[in-house]
Amino acid sequence: MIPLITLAIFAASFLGFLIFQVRSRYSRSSVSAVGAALIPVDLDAFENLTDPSEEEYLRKNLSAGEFRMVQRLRIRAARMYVSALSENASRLVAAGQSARSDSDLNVAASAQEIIQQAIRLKVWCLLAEYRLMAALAFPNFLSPSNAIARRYQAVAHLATHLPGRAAA
Amino acid sequence: MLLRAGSVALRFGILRDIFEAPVLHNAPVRRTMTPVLHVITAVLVLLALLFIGTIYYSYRGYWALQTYFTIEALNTAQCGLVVLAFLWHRFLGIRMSRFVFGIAFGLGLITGSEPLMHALRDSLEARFFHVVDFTQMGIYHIAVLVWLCYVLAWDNIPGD
Repeated sequence: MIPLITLAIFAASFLGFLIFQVRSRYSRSSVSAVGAALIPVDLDAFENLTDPSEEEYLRKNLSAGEFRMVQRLRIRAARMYVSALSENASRLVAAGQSARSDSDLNVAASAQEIIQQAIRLKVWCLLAEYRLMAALAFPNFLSPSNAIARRYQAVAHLATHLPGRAAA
Repeated sequence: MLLRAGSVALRFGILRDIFEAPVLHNAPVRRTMTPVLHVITAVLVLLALLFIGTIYYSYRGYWALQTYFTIEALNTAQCGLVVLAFLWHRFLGIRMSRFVFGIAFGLGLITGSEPLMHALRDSLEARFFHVVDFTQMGIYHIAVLVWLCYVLAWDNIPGD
């Protein structure tokens, strides 16, 4: 009896999840997400937060405890930037998807390229987030990377070719 | 049981294609994603083995039916993969194509209901087996209808 009850609850929960997916697919909010403007991101500030030379300067001039505290503050701030970049990547994907069916073949091709590059950016943001979380746990041994800022700039530049693009 | 094992194996391949659908033309991301997907699948299978094992441990003949419970665990792990497939598309911000959505939804109906149907069959008397069989066949037909509807579909669906 117990297996039956447990599996019935499992099956009902799973069915509820599938129904939720159908409803969210056709909800108005998912359609209206297209065209949202990009979140303004100060890439210079982000690069400053993740600059290895800046980190080295702090490491030399602060005590070990002070360095860990300051570095963790910098990493937490960097995580907020990465989160914003990730959200912008999602909006670029949405913009690319809406432009993919454009009658102009050049625009459609650009849109497809933007989608693929934005997906890569999204995955890089996820990996950057994990690296920052590890650096937060071990600030003395791990450093954040600012490579994602350059990748974001390249993708955002591609989006300038889309008609009615989301403003950065 | 062999047919069911083959069916479960085929579904793993379909699930992999669902995961790769948004990055089909993106070889670098696919190369990164493939080993991660294998690890996630292995973790889900282990968790499912634990789940099914703890549910059925007190059954008579448990040790003689290891293969059966392993297939149940693989089926349950596929439910987790279906959930992750939807979450993966949501994370990427990619709207599933009609075709992929229909297959994922139909696959979810089948993988989610099979463990329950088998447990129901074990719990009921023999004279009710045909009820379970008809229900299971009905679910399969609904899944196929869902696939067909999404493939042939529905120009009037807004935003689709």
